Order: sequence, then C-alpha cells, then structure tokens
Amino acid sequence: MESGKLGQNPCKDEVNTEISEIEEEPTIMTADATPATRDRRQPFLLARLFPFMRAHLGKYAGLFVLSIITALIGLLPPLFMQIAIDTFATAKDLAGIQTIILLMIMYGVLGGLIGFASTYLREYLGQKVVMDMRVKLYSHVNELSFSYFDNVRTGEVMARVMQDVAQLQMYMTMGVISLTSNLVTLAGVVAILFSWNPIIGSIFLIDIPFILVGMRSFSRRVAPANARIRKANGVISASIQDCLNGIREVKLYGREEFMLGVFDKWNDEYFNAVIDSNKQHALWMPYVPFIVSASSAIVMLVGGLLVVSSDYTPGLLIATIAYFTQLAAPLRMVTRFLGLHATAKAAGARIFDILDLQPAISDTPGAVWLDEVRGHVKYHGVSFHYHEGHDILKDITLDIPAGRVIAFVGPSGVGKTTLLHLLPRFYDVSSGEVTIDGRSIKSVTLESLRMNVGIVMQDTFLFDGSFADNIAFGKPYAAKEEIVRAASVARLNKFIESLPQKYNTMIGERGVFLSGGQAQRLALARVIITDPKILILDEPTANVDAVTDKEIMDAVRETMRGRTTLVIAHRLWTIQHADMIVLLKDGRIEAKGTHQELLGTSAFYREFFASQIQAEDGGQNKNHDETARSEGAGR
Amino acid sequence: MHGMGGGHGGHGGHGMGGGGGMGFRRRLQEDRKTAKISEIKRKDLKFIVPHVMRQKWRVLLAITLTLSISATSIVAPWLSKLLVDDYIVRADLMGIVLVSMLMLGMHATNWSLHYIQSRNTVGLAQRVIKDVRRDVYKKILALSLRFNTERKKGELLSLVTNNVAVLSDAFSSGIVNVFTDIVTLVGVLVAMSMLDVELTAISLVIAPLILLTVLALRGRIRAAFIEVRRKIAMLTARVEENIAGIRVVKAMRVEGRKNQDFMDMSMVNFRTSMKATLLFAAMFALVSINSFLVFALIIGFGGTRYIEGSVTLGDLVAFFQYIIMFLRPIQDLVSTYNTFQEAAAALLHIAEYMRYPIDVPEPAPAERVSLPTPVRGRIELNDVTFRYGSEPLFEGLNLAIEPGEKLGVVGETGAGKTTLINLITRLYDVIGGSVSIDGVDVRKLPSQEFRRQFAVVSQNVVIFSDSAKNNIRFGRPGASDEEVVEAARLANAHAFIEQMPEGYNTMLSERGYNLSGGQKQLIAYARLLLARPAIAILDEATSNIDSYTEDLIQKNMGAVLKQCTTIVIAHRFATLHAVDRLVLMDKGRIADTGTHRELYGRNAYYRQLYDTQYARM
Ligand SMILES: Nc1ncnc2c1ncn2[C@@H]1O[C@H](COP(=O)(O)OP(=O)(O)OP(=O)(O)O)[C@@H](O)[C@H]1O
Ligand SMILES: Nc1ncnc2c1ncn2[C@@H]1O[C@H](COP(=O)(O)OP(=O)(O)OP(=O)(O)O)[C@@H](O)[C@H]1O
Ligand SMILES: [Mg+2]
Ligand SMILES: [Mg+2]
Repeated sequence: MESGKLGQNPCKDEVNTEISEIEEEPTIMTADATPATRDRRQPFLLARLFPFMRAHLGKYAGLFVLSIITALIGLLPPLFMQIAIDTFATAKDLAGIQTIILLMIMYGVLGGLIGFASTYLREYLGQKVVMDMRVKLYSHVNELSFSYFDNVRTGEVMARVMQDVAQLQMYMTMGVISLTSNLVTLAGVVAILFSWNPIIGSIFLIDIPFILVGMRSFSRRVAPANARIRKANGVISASIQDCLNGIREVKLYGREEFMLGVFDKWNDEYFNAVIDSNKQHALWMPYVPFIVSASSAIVMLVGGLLVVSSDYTPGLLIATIAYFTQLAAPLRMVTRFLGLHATAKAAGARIFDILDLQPAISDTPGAVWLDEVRGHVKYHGVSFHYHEGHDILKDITLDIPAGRVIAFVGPSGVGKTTLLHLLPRFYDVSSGEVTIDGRSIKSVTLESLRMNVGIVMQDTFLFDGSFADNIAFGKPYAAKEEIVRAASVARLNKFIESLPQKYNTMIGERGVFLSGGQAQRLALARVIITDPKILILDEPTANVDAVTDKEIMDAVRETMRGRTTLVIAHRLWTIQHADMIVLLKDGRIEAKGTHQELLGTSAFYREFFASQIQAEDGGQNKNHDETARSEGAGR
Repeated sequence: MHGMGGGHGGHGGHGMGGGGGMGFRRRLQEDRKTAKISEIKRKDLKFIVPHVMRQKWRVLLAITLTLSISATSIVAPWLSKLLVDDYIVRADLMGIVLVSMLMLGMHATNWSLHYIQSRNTVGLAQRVIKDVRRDVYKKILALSLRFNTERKKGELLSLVTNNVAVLSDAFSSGIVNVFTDIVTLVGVLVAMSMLDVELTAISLVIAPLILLTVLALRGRIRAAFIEVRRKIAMLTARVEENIAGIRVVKAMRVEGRKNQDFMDMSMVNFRTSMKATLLFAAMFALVSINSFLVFALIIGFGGTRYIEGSVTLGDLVAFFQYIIMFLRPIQDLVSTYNTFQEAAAALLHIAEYMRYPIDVPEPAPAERVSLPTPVRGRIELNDVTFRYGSEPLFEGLNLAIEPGEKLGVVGETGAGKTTLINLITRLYDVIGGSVSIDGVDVRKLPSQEFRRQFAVVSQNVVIFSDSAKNNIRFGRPGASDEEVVEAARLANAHAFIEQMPEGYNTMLSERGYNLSGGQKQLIAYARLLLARPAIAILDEATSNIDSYTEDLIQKNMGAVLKQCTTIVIAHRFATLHAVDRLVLMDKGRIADTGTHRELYGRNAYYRQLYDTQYARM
C-alpha cells in the first residue's frame, strides 16, 4: 500500500548524517576560512560502488525480483475494486464479490510475506555493504601515513568513516532498490490507466513533466542553503570539539563567553540556513501531492464526463482515482531519490577521495622482513623537509654503533624529533638514506621495521581504559608479570599499586586522571613492554622529577643493555651518561662526542648548556656559602 | 508530509560511557534505557518552556493552521462523493465542472496552507532549538573542569548537537504531525460514520488489530533500536579515539589489531541491527497485511451493500479515500512513536544536564565581592582539604604567597603541584578550608573578574586548530596584531612563526602536530605574555624547551612580569634560579619551604633531588 513507508525503517544506520560533519577546515575563533570545493567529478558512482556489491549479487537479484513483485501486488487493490464494482456489483453477483475478497486477502498475505522478505533482505544488504565499506575505509585510513594526518582533523576523518558511508547506505538500499520498485509501480499505473482510457492515461503522463520541473527547481534552489547548513554544522561541532579539548585553557583564561560568541555566530548562521532551506521545502514539498490531487480533480472532471458520455464505467473512474491517491507515495520516493543521489554523490566523492589516496609510505616491492637486528643505525647524507623549500634537516650523516646510548640535543625546533621520526619511517627522507645494520630501511617491511624500533613520542597520547590496557597496548596478550615489569621500569608500579583498583584503575579519556609525569611514564611503559631492539625516547622524562628520572633512566639502560637507545632530552643530567651526544644546530650536526669531549671542543655546547652547567657548579659548591639564590640573582 | 527544514534527521553518537565509576553517568545511561514520554516531569521541561512561551503566537498559528488543513483534507473525499452521486450518476455536466473546479481550488488552498504551516512550525522549532542549543552549550561551559574531565567529550558534543537535533526533529515535524494526525483521525471518523456507520464499524474492527500488532511489538523494537544506537555510539567513540591517536597506533604497529577490533565491533553492530530489522520488517508486514484486510472487507461489505442499494457509489469512493487517510497515521505509529521516545530520551538527557548543579558556582549576588584595585596578587591557602576521587590528596594545607613574589614549586611527580594550581585558579573548589586572593575568598569573586588576574601555561599545552596568530591572541582576544607579534617576540616564538609557510596565518593542526614540542610551549608563553596578568603561573612550561632558549625567555619575562606574583613549577632547577622562595611538595603535603639554601641545608629529599641533577660521573 503506502510504499512510502518502506523507506522509513528507522533501522537504517543510526549515524547522524548531517550534524557533526566537518567539511571544510573551520577555524575555531574566526571560522571564516573559505570553503574548498571538494565535490570532484564522480561520474560513475554506481560503478565505483559495484565492487562492494559484487559479493552479494545473488541477493541483490533476489531483492530486485522481490521488490518488483511487491510493486505489482501493490497495483492490485484498485483493480479488484474496479472488478468488484463493474462486474460483480452491477451483475449483483455476491459470490463473485466473495471471491474477490478471498483473492485480496490471499494477495495481502502474500504481499505481506514478500514485503517482509524484501525489507529484511534490503536491510541486510544495506548493512552488510556499509559494513564492508566502512571496514575497508577504516583500514585504509589506518594505512595512511603521518603526513596525511598532519593536515586533517580527527572530526573530518570521522565524518568520512561514519556519516558519509551511512549516506551511501541509504542510497544503495532505499535509493536504488525502492527506485526500481517505485518505477515499476509508476509504469504499471501508466499501463493500466492507458489500457482503460488513453485520455485519462495522458492526464497522468502530463503530471510527470510538471513534477520533474518542480523537483529540479527545488533541488537547484535548496542546494546552496543545504550546503550552508552542512558547513554551519561542521563548524559548530568542530568548534565545540576544539573547545572541549582545550577546556582547561578556556577556563583558565575565562574564555567561556568568547567561545560562546564563536558558537553563536554559527548557531545563527545555521538557523538562517535552515530557514532558507525550509522556504524551498515548504513551497516544493507539498507541490507533488498538489499536482497529484489537482490532476485527480481533473480526472474526476474528465472521467465524470466520460462516464456520462461514453462506456467508461464508474468502477473504472473509482479505480483510477484510487490509483491517483496511491501515486503520491512512489512519486515522492522518486523525487526524494533525486535528492539522495546528489548527497550520495558528494559523500561518495569524499569517500573515494580517501580510498584513492596512496599511503605516502608503504612497503616497497620486494621488501623483506627485518630480523636479527643488532642496532647499527646509519644516516647517509639525509635531508628532509615537510614543505618544499623549507629544509629542516640538511645533509645529515651519522653513524650510530649498535648497543649504545646516543643522546640528541639542540635548540627547540631544530629537528631532533624529525630526525628520529625518519628511522621508523613516519616520514621518508627527502634525500639520502637511513640504514639499520647496513640494510636500507626502505628495503624492509614497515611492520618488521616498526616492530624493532620502539618509540616514546614527545606528545603523550593515552587511550581510555585501565593502566593494564594501556601498558599492554602494543602487546595485547602480555602476561601480568610483563605488565608489572614494564611499569616498574617506568617507575610507575608503586603508584599503581597504591591505588585501590591497582592495574585495573581507569585513567580517563586521554589519561585525564593522571598527573603529567604519570602519563609520561605510562607511555614509556607501553613501549618498554614491546621489547624493541632499537629504542627511541623523545624527551621521555620531561615531566618527571630528577630522582625518578634518574631511576627510570637507570632502569631503561638496564633493560636496554646491549641494544641501541636514542634519546632526546633537554636536561643535562638525563643525557650526560650517554655514550655519544649529538648536538644539532640549524638542521646540521654541530658537534658530537661525550659530554666531557663536547665541553672541551664545542663552544656552542658550553653556551647551550650554560645555565645547567653553571647551576651545576652551584650544586658542587653546595657547601660554600654563596650558593642558594646566587645562581639566579646573578643573572 | 510537512516540509521540514534541512532534514537533519539526527540521532547517533549519544556517547555511552564505558566503565568509569561515575554515579552520575551511570544514572544517565539507565535513564536513557527506560526513558518514556510518561516519565517527563514538569521540572524536565523547565529548560525549554520559556523558549516556547516566547513563540506563543506561532504556536497559536500552528494550531489554527492544523485545524484548517485537516478540514480541507477531510472535505475533499466528500466532494468526490458529491461528484459521483449527485452529478456523474445524474449526468449533470455543469455540476461536474463546478465540483471539480471546487476541488482544484481546495487543493490549491491546501498547498498554500501547508506552505504557511511549514514556514511557521520550522521557524518556531528552529528558534526554540537555537536557544536551547545555546543554553546547553553554555551550561557545559559553566560546569567545572571536574565535570568536563569525567565526562566523555563525545558525549558532551553529542549532547549539544545530536540530542538537540533529535529534539528539534520532534519539534519541527513530530508534534505538528501528531496533532494533525489526531485531528484528522477524529474528523475522518466523523465523516466516515456520517457516510455509513456499519462500514465504519467494520474498518474499526481491523484498525485495533493493526494497533495491537504495533503495540505488541513496539517495546521490543524500541529496545532493539536502543541497542543499535548504543553499539553505533561505541563504535564511533572507538574510531574517534583511534584516529586521534593514530600516531601511537602506527608507531606500535597495532593497525592490524585495530582493524580486527573494528571489524568485530562492526559485526556485532550488524547483527544487532539485523535483529532490530527483523522485528521491524515483521511489524511492517503485519501492518501491511492488515491494511489489505481492511480493503478487502470494505470491498466485500461495501460491494454487498452497494448491491443491496444501501450505499451509493459515491459513498464507496469517499470511503476508500477516508480509509487511506485513516490508516496512514496508524501505520506510521511506530516511527512516530520512535521519534517521540527518542525525543523524550533526548529531552530527559538534556534536562538532566541542565539541572546538574554547577560545582564551581558563581558567587551569589549578595556575597559577591570585588577585588580591591589595584590587584596586588597575594595568594593564601588556608587549611585546604582536597581530593579528586575518594583518596585524600591535600589535608590541612597552608601556604601564603606574597604580592610580587616569585615562588618555585618542586616535588616528586604526582605530588600535587598541578593540583595546587588547579585550586589557586579555582578550576576546582576546595573541599575544606579556603583559597583567597588579596584576602578575598575566591568563591566570592565573579569568575570573569577573577580569571582576568591569571595567565597560565599548563603542563599540557593546548593548541587550537586555528592560525598561529589566533592561538596567541587567545590570551587576550582584543589584542592587536602588533601586540601579538610583540608577545611572540618576547616568548622567542617570532622567529619560527615567521618561518612557517604562512607566517602568523599558518594554521596550526589539531594538538599542534605541525609544531615541535618546544614550539608549542613557546606559543603558550606568548599567550601568557599577551594576557598581562597580575598572577602568572608556569606549570612545567619549559619542560620541552632547551635551557638556552629558556634563558632568553626568562630574561624577557623578568622584565614583563616583574610586578607579577609568579608561580613556577619545574623539575629542572635551572628553571628555578630566579625564584625568591621554593616550596617542596611531597605526597600532597608541603614538606618544606624556604630559599634554596635553607632547603638544601635541612631537607634530605631536596638535597637528593638537587644533587641528582648535578651529580657528575
Ligand atoms: N608535521 C609537521 N609539519 C610541518 N612542520 C613540522 C612538522 N613537525 C615539525 N615541524 C617543524 O619542523 C621543525 C623541527 O621540528 P622538530 O619537532 O623536529 O623539532 P625538535 O628539535 O624536536 O624540537 P623540540 O625540542 O622543541 O621538540 C620545527 O620548525 C617544526 O615547526
Ligand atoms: N582529574 C583527576 N582525577 C583524579 N585524580 C587526579 C586527577 N588529576 C590528578 N590526579 C591525581 O592526583 C595526584 C596529584 O596530581 P598532580 O597532577 O597534582 O601531580 P603533579 O605534582 O603535578 O605531578 P607531575 O609532576 O607528574 O605533573 C596524582 O596522583 C594524580 O594521579
Ligand atoms: Mg621534539
Ligand atoms: Mg603536574
């Protein structure tokens, strides 16, 4: 009957399709970056979707047949009505009417069952395909390299994986399939009406251009408003997200009102855009029903005249009117499909934009598994830039013997982190080569490379969960003892064990329940447990006090004995025991050697650590009277 | 079908808390499971009623329009009856033309009424929703840091976006539709019984059947949908976290496992959805069979009666149209019901938050005190007790910081240094005792005025996804470009900002991923210098900065912040060389306080802390 309801299964993927979508890169405080048009030409959306549907072709075919049958059954009631009125009622044939009733009930039950099967099948296919697509997209996103993520927002990627895919689901199920069944219904109605009476049939046909023209102008006019809605939505959620992420700063600086002001601007814009869009909706949405009703009034007129003047029967007229009443739903669906197609095309374009991206860094053909690593790392004339023309590292050549502790020091932003990020291939060198045990890191698989190179990153990122979950992040089936051992290397076990729930204590989203030093030590434990052959520590103890720091560094040295450890630090005491200290300056190696050697050979080194060395003298002279504040007062 | 603005049919990540022993969150979850329209109490509506009241004329208009629209819809089939019985059967050509034209006019009227109605209701709903959304966001911002850290960000975000959108759906279409449905149902019933009581009775025999089917399944369908939603919310939260932490995922090469996880969760999600679909499809099939039954019965009985001559052909024509009008709302019952249940859940959810007491409240007007000007910046903690969870952290803590004093805070990690700052800046309120600035209890100070006195570089520097310029300007939104550059210069950030591709207009990425660790802190420094505070707080603000650069900054800072009361937390003693006094914290206590010399002389732990840094091999 009302096949319009078919499309309203609230079971469809429950991802909000509009809100919290981030299309452009909105800025939080000004949020006026001009939108980049991302709607590339995607002429063959269905062709691109086909691979996802191929696995289920049989089911699609079944669904196709079922929908057509459903549509055909839907055509029956007016037909029965016509027969009942014209044949049996005129002939006063009660038995005939009873037959009709029985037939109708039968068809009704049959239609119900088939409807059940097709609804189920349709949802099955929709959910399945969307799941496949999501999994594919998600794993593809996971393959992409750091440089991709440097330039997108989490929210944006999220919107691709969750919302855009959901859009496609709607398109592929409700869209494609109910489009067929609705077209069948329409065609069936046209055929029946024409066979009954060509004039009446043509009245119906005349409707179609009216409807199409109306819908076209509707979608043309509503598009800009909808784009504005989308954008406002994106900016609103992005600014809320940004604000919540920085809530501490917002509160400290008392910027709540300010944030609210940014929000207000876009909340207003959203409101205006919705109102503008509604102007079109309000005008054009009741337009289709109006056309249908208006033409049914005309049918009444013409049909009435025909009944009076020809052999056109009242039964035919009544059935015709019934068809017209029934038509509103399929027509609405078809027009809605047009809108859906536009959205799906845009969503598809965004999805395939990502799927078409080749990860900047992946295994080279013929890459082999890196094993039996001794840890001899070598940089051969390595240069690197993030942006063309801004070289961060310039022709770095460095030989790091296996099994040593090497420290990297240098001014902020000189490129220490960058240099070490080249080793696990987070980024690839712009020129030059990095080798491990004489093998180019590009000749081995990424997986094996990263398995051997453990890194504690400068920016600590923790996952929601317990201490145990976080420590075992890279080694999910780690035994309890391993977890405890890793925690004790990071000097975290005492603290954890002092908590009522011990290792099962939740650390909060991103570790919000931890102090700075605790978070950092947890990140260290997380890497220690994976037992890497080469360990990179990027300021691993910046937020830890000296005593704990010393204990940690001793413990790390103990565990890493015989393996290569590369450590970046700004504190002299963290690195002074290193076998070699590499001092970077202006993207080049300024000097290298042990602490003592550098003190002797490098003026920049002395200057660089001046305050710490000077203070150090203060420390040594602790028994002398003038220490205390003198270090500071003197400056 | 009422035109509906934007069609932002939003439901989705109502973030579900996983674990986390927060009573409040657990309660909220349960609420969402059991939320029913009937559970909505007066107090739950408090946040929305004033906004609706402001639109009362629109509400009145909506009611009037609904009545007129229903009336025109109900009259139409009656006209067809007239047409058939009085004119076609009697072959009255003039009459046929007249009635058809009348119908045409009727439909045109209906169209324009719909237009006005849609503009009116969407305008009404969007105005209300806009205000509500603002209120909700404002409330979240007003709630304390404790609240904000204990809640999932995703949940808060979806509160402002999704939950409000769900509510908005119910508002812009739901309520009016239901009202229209009810009026139409009643009108249709009346019209049908005027046509023929017996036929009406027969249709009514089936209608309850449909109703019963729907009612029987509704509970289970609802439960299934709630489950689906929960699963999707979990999936969303998981994906969000993994993408935000993608660098760690990649560094630890757990992509494979993450993919597997995702696949498993999707599979569970798929199964849950299919379970819900099964119910839905079954219900849909039953409803459709029932509708067929109604039609069959009408044809049967109507036909018989027509043969007997007790109903006219026109009656039948009108009857069929009425039946369709009558069945539609009943068939829609499930989705209407769902819309409303969902809206009820969203409403209760929002109401719960709106009622949530602000735990770091603004002072009541009666107690409000202003700081004596000029602000001198004396800070005093008096017998302070504090804890985050159940473990006590501070007990009877006392500390006074003199105006203009430079105070250094040192101590083991986890000792409570950051917490001390949290209390001084009133991110958290003390549980016992008091914190005061220039002798005024911080709880009596209006927060805007209070916050203006501080500038803080936090231990975890926050970088907003915005330009470098705006990130610094966050310290003082009114500052001119020159002032921003000047602050950057003083913070030693100017040089590297200039070198970025677009200088001060370069977009900094989320979490500052395109900056080095030290550069992020330099930006935060610039922010602080721009703010020109009375009290400056540096929480490990140079932990990622080399001491050479640090020296340069400190020289500049010294001049700018000379008058400021300054609190410096640091692990590196080189950072602390310019302080007047040190506080040594240990496990939530102030273990000792004094100059470096005093502490070094009498405190063994301090000595160890200090010597470790400078011990030579
Ligand atoms: N993802 C990125 N995209 C663009 N530029 C970057 C990116 N990461 C770092 N940079 C720039 O490259 C330079 C070197 O940064 P890097 O993080 O290697 O410095 P660093 O020596 O580790 O400094 P710090 O001691 O402050 O951590 C800096 O100028 C920084 O702004
Ligand atoms: N939001 C929170 N919820 C629960 N516990 C917390 C929270 N913040 C901190 N804690 C706990 O309170 C104690 C003190 O933390 P605080 O951040 O004040 O330490 P800190 O002295 O600043 O340490 P660090 O030098 O490592 O930064 C720690 O044990 C920490 O785990
Ligand atoms: Mg770095
Ligand atoms: Mg801290």
